[in-house]
Amino acid sequence: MVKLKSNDDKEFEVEEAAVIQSEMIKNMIEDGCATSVIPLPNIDSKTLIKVIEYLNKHINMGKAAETGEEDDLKEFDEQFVNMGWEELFDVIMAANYLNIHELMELCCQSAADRLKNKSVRAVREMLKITNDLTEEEEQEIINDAPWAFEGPEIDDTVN
Amino acid sequence: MEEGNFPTRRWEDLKIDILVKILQASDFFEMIFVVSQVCRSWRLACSNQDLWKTLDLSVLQSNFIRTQIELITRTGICSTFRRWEDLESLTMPSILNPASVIQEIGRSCRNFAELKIMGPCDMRFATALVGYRLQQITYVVQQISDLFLLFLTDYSSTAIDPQVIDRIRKKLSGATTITRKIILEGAVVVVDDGSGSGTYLTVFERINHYDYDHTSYTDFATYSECSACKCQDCKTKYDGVINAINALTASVKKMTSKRGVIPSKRISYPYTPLEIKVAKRRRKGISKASSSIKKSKVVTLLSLFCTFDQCTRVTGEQHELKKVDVTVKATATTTTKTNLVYSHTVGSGEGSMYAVHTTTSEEIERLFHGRRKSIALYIPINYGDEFHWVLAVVILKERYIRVYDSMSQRRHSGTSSELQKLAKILPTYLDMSSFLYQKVCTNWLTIEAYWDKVSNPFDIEYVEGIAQQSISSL
Repeated sequence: MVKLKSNDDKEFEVEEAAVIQSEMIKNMIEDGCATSVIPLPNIDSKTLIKVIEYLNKHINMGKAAETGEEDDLKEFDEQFVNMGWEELFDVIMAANYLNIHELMELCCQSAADRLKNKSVRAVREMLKITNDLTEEEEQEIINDAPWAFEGPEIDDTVN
Repeated sequence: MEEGNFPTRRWEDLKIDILVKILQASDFFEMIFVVSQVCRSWRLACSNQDLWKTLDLSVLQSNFIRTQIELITRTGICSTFRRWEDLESLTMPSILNPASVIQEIGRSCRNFAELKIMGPCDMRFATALVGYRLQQITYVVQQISDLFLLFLTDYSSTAIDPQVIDRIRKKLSGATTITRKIILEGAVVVVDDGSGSGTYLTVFERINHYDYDHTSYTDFATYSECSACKCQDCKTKYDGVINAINALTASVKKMTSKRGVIPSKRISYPYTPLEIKVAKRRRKGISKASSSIKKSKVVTLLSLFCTFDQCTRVTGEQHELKKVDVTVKATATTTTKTNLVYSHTVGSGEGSMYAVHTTTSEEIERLFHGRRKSIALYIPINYGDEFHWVLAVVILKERYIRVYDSMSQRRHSGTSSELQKLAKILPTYLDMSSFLYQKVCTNWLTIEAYWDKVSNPFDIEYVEGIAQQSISSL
């Protein structure tokens, strides 16, 4: 068992088999730095619980392929990424920090799917991004490629 | 650090490499216009090199933006490619100034490997391609409606023979001058320009089965339509044909690669006909497809739906056929896969040989491998609609097909269409699979039988004086 500590000082015990899906922790274990609690200053407990849930579910990935539980796993993944943008952001950051390749891919795919066909305004609103482009810059972009602002597919709704 | 207390979750502050990952997970070209305007850091991410290894402008072909492409000036394109060192693949509806664009790509883009053009490919273009020798380019694909042209380029030789350039020019100048050898759905045929310099011109074509030529050997193309409509009977037969062809190609390919005489580029050639795509397209309705089934005779070519057990004893000078005992696994009730039966010369000494039933491609490969010198290929062929089989023995070295027919009086007029098709298909496959270019044991191209007629059909010879049976004996 490996002990992980979130930035709000909560400790979690995770099986080694699960936690080594994180390249970062795997390296730490291999280097013998994981004897006591591993502090994770960038991850809060809420996100860490989510990540551990993912790791535990994916622990038997190889086995699942044999026993035909792939669909199960797929369903789990779908459910897993069904979260708000803020939560998704945290999980992406955590996955990036812990270097969990599969989780990173899953989250990036989800984010990309959600951004698809959205208008600029919708994207900004969804992600709460402040527009730091000046008006001149925006106009310049529009002048560069005026036809990019037409087309029926662009979705202006926020959800 | 609870939610809302600190502005920790700022998507605009997302690391660029993470954002790039998100963009890579999507169809980047669909999103670029939006993403690039969201904010400064996102705009910056859009110019990340990892996202721009491929440039696919095929969307510009739609009417929506057609006029816009003319707004891109020659200097604009050139200066773009000059800075675009990481470009690997380019798809364009057309290139207005091929010479300068190609030159620029050749000069700047070191990793360039793929060029797809969807417009006409004229002589200027061909000249540019050859003239500015793109060292790295592996292939060029041109699409003109349903016709694809694939140019495999290998300009590894330091100097290109002007004659070669001439040939390419000729070939590119119009589709009519391009040899069309065989047409399989999604398959590719390499047409050697004969110069041996390693420049290949490849044609592959999707045939619309309305206008396919009945007498030619394009009939295979119709099967994809048949199988697409799940006509069970036809599909099974088609599978059989494909299996057989795959097996043949695979064995030849494996053999050639094992001998290590083929330049690696040819081995890695990705469009060998091993992948015959089935059931990909289903544009045509069932009724149309099934009418084409009636038209196509090749169905019967390799359909072995019975147990074939025939002994033919022949005495010949070179090839003494001792026994043909060919059994094809087939169950009477279920429609199983059709199998081609291959064999090879096994006997030592006085040319005695016998055919062995072989039904798996592995076995065929094993047979081919190690017995390269005297390969003869035994193919039982079902005659048209009749319940009658003949044995075709393909003698590769002498480039002809011997036919053993136990009911030769039935043969009214000339060669059967099945055999003709076989004779035409075989050289093409040998050509495609680079079989002819291996030179360790046999330099095929120098054999008189192959000289100057690589693409000609095989000769067909009916063996006379073999045991006969009467028609009524069936």
